[in-house]
Amino acid sequence: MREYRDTRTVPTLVTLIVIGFLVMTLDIRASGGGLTGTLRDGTTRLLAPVQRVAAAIVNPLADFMEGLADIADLRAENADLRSRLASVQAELASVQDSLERLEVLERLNDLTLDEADLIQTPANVIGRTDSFDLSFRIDKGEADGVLAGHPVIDENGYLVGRVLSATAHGAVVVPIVGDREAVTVVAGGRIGSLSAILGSGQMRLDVFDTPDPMLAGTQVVTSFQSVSFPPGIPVGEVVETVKPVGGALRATVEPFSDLSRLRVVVVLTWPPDPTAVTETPPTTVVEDGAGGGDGGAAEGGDGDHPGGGG
Amino acid sequence: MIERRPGLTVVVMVAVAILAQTTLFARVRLVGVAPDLVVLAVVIATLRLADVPSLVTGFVAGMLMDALGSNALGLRAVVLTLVAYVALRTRDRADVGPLAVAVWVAGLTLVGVALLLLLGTLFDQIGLTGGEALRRLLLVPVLNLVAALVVSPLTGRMLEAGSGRRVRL
Repeated sequence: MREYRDTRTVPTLVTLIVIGFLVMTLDIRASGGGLTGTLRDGTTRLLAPVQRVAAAIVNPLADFMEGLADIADLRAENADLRSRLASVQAELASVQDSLERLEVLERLNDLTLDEADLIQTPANVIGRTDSFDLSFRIDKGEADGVLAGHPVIDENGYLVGRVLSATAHGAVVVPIVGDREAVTVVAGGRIGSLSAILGSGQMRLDVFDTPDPMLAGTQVVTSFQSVSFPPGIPVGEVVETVKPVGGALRATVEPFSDLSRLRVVVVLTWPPDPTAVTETPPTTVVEDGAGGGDGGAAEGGDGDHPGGGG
Repeated sequence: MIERRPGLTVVVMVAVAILAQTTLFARVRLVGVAPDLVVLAVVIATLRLADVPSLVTGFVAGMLMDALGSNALGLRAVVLTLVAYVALRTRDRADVGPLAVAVWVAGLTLVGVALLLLLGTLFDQIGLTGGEALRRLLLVPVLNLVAALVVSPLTGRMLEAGSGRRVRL
C-alpha cells in the first residue's frame, strides 16, 4: 500500500494540460510556423539522426517480420501480377502507337513540349508516429533541396503525397490518402477532383459535366491543371463503374502506392526552380518530358484546393 | 514509499519506446495497426515514479511524439498527461501481477486512444471516422495488452535494478 500522496499532483496536472492546449492552439494558428514551429524543428533536428540510426538497426528485423507475414500472400500476388503484366503489355502496345501518332502530329504542327528538368531526391522513410497519424518522416530535408509542398512519389513512380514540413535534414510527408487538400486529376480523359476518404485508405473522385460513366479500372493521373503536382503521375484506379447523376459522378479510387510498404520515396522539385538546381546538391537529375507548360493553370484548376472531406 | 527521483531507467525506457514506435512499428503492423508503446512506457513508468515526475514524463513523451508527427504540437502531450494521471490514481489496484498490469495497461490505452480520437476530432487533427476509428480504438489496447505481457517482466526487473526496491509486474 502506498502512503505517499503528492499535494502538487492536481496543480501540476492542470498546469501541464493548460500548457498542452496553449501549445496546440498556437501550433494550429501558426500553421506549423512561429514558436511552435521552431520547437518542432529543434526536436526533429535533435531526434532525426537517432531515428535514422534506429531505423537502420530495426529495418532487417522489420524485413524479416514482413517476410513472414507476406509468405501466404506471395502466390496469389504472383498470379495477380502475371495477369496484370499481360494486360499492361497489351496497353503498352497501344500507347506506343499513340506516341508515334503524337510525334507525327507534333511535327505537322511544329509543336514542342516544354521540357523541364525535375530534380528527384530519393529519401528513406525513417519513421511514423502511431496508428492515428498517416504522415511519415524521411531523411532528406532542406539541405538536400526538399521543401514544404514538394510532391513525393514512390519507387514505381506512383504519387504518394506531398512534403508537409521540412527541416535541414528531414521532412514530414503527408500522403494523399491522409491529406485534406484535393488533387486535380485526369481520369478517362476527364478532369476531376480527387480527395481522401479519410481513414479508409481510398479516395473519392468527383467529376462534373460528364455524360459518360466512369469505368472500373480507369487510371487516374495528375492533371496539367494542377499547380502542386507535375502532370501525368499515376495516382490510382477507379474501383467500380459509376454512372453520372445529373451530369456529375463520384467514383471511389484505390491508390496505386502502398503506404504500409514504403521504405524509399522520391521527392520531386516542383515547380522546377532554376535557382534551386544550382544552389542545392541534387542527388539525381532526370529529364521529364511531361513536365512544365502549366503555368497558366494556376488561375484555373488548383491541385491543392480543400478537399471534399471524408 | 514511492521512489521520488526520476530514474534514468524510465528515461531510457520511454526513449526506447519512442524509437521503437516510430521505426520498428512504423513498418510492422497487424492489419494496419501497431501497439502504442509510448502509452505502455508512460503507464509502466507511473509504477516507479512519484506523481509529478509521472505527469511530466507523460507530457514530455507526448510532446516528442507530436514533434515527430504531423498533428498539432501538444495533442499527444495532453492525452499522455491525462493517461498518466489516471494511471497514478489506479496503480495500486494493478500492482498485483503481470496479468493485472497487462489488463490495466490495456484499459489505460483504451482511455488514451479514446481521448486522442476525441481531442483530435475536436481540433480537426485526426481524420479517422466510423468503423476505422472503432477498429483502431479496439485493436490498439488489445495489442498493448499483448505487448505489456511480453515486456512487463523485463521492465519490472529493469525498474527493480534502477530503484533498489521490488516492483511487482
